[in-house]
Amino acid sequence: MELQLQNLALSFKNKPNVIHDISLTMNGGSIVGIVAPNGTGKTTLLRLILNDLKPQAGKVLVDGKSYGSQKQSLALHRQMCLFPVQDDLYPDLSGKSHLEYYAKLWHNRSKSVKQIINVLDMRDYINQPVRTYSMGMKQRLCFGMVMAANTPIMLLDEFMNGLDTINVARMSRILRGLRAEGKLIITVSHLLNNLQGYADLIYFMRDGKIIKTIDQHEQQPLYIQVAEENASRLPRMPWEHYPNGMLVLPIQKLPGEHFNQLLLGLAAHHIPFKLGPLDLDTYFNEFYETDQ
Amino acid sequence: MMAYFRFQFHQLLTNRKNLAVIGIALVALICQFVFFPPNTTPVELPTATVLTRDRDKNIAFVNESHGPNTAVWVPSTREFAKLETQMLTAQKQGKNKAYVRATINYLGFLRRYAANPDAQSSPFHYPLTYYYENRQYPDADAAYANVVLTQSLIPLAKQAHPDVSTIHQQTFWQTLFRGALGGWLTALLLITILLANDLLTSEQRHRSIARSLPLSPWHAINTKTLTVLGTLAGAVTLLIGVTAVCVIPFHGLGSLTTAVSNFAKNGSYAYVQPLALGSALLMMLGLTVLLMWLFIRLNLLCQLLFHNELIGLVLSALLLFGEPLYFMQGIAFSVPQTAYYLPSYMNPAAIVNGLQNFRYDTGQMTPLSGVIVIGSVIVLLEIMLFIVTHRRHAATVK
Repeated sequence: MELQLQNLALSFKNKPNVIHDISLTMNGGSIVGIVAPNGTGKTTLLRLILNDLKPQAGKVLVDGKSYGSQKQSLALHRQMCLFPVQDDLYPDLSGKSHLEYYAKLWHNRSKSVKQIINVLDMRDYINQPVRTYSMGMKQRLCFGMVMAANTPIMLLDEFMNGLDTINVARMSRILRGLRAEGKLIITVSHLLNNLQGYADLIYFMRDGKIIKTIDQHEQQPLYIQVAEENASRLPRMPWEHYPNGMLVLPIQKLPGEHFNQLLLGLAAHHIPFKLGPLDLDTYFNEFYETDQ
Repeated sequence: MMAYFRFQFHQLLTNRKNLAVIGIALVALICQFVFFPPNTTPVELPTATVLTRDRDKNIAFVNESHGPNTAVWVPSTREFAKLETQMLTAQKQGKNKAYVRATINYLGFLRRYAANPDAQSSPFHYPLTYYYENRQYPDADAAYANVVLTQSLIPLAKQAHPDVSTIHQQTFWQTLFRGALGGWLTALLLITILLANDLLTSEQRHRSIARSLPLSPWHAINTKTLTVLGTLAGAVTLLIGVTAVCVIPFHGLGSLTTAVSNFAKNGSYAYVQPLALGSALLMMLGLTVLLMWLFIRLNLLCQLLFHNELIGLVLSALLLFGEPLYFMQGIAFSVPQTAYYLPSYMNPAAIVNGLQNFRYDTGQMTPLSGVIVIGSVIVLLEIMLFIVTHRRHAATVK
């Protein structure tokens, strides 16, 4: 399964370049995270993939086939499922009816509804009407509906909202399982550190464009990160101030002996530091701090 | 796709507005049944009490002097009193055949002599209810009802032992037909409109689900149409069931071969012919299903085009109740095309028994004309729906 976005562009009357010439190729068996602040086109991108919005330029291809006639669109729709919005659930229907509805509409025969209910631990309430559900229960049900559709492409918009830590961990584990089954999962999430834990590819969007791509399977540049309050005790080096209150030094800029001396010095002066790639929160703050 | 059909069906039946509509219809049916026709006998068939009172008055009239009118009215009043006595005697003795024959003669007498009670040109008149109801043409309406009832009694007069419930038009099948003529079908079409009126717009509350479903808009609207028709079939079965429970234990099922009258016109020659009740009910059902289809598709089209339910509702109401707008102003008589206007075909029972032909003074408004007029509009709606739902970017929910 390959999903290609070719030079997608979309502007609204009062908002130009919501999506501005985006080209991406995503493959089955991977989890793709899209990161950007609210109102910057993440959901719009998912709606373009779903053909819910029509791009003014470019096209969406699934295994080389694009949206065209209604028949073609239908064939593509059978390949993907969008995470429903909680408020759109049918209040008088039970959770189980929702799951069965999705399973039958997408002709899912391989994954049983019972299995999904067990995996998401929804046994206690699944037969009750949805109007009695809490926010977290509804969120789990919405996730279960996408699982019930069992499509090769899953579009998950803000799917971790309102979940407690246990359920965030549960969903993350399930996502990895779905990836292992060969699904292409495109997620939009604000739980960035959690996203970093399971996503294969992470795209940062700004002004309708992809401004940074992180392939988590590639070696990431390492940084020494120190809190700003220790600035006066640090040796003179090209430290960079990050908006999250950290001083950051890319180690590839340091010759080997300087690196060793710096680490020893930090340890000797009991200055707390972190050595590793930058986390998504740090990137997020770096890219969008000026916007907010 | 069965899953979508079942889900839509469930949605339709758990929708509180829809449940309220069906509930109100059921209560209205029961109320109408208890207080109004068709539970009562036709007004043309007087009860024994009324007959006795009238007969005694007529006998008293015969025995009094009336000056110059004596020669004119006394013999006819005597004849009328005799007919009334025959009816009463037959009723008392339980001789139904004799009662039917006497009633046919009684109705025939009224046709010959009855006049508007205000005109005072004759002491005989049709049932007074026609004059109390503020009708535009009470004499004509009463004469029509008289002829129609006579025609339905003639075949009974040929039977050896006609059934009294059949004579009084109170058997189950006759009740259904009279109920249809008396407004039940209008109520059914109103329910159709209310069920269909927010089929698509209600999906806007579930937009993220509705728009991601792997279904073509054409398929979706067809399934929704079948869902409403299925619900209506259930509602009709329920309403018929209630009627059956109320009628059959007291008046029996009746026969589908019983005659109902059909008013027709050939040029200027008007005539009433008998029609088997079974055929009449079948034709009525066919026309009703066509009208239901029309209203469902009209509402779907309006929702697809305008994304709100009000326009469909207003258009449907205009079609269903719009006939009096031109009928009351006399346009129906001055413009012959009104016989082909869609609002003229909103009561299938009136088309089947020729009441519309009588009202429009035409012979054109037959069930076949109904099929042509309603069918033409349906074809037009289907073409528009097909185009709208097959556009490249068509969607049932915007």
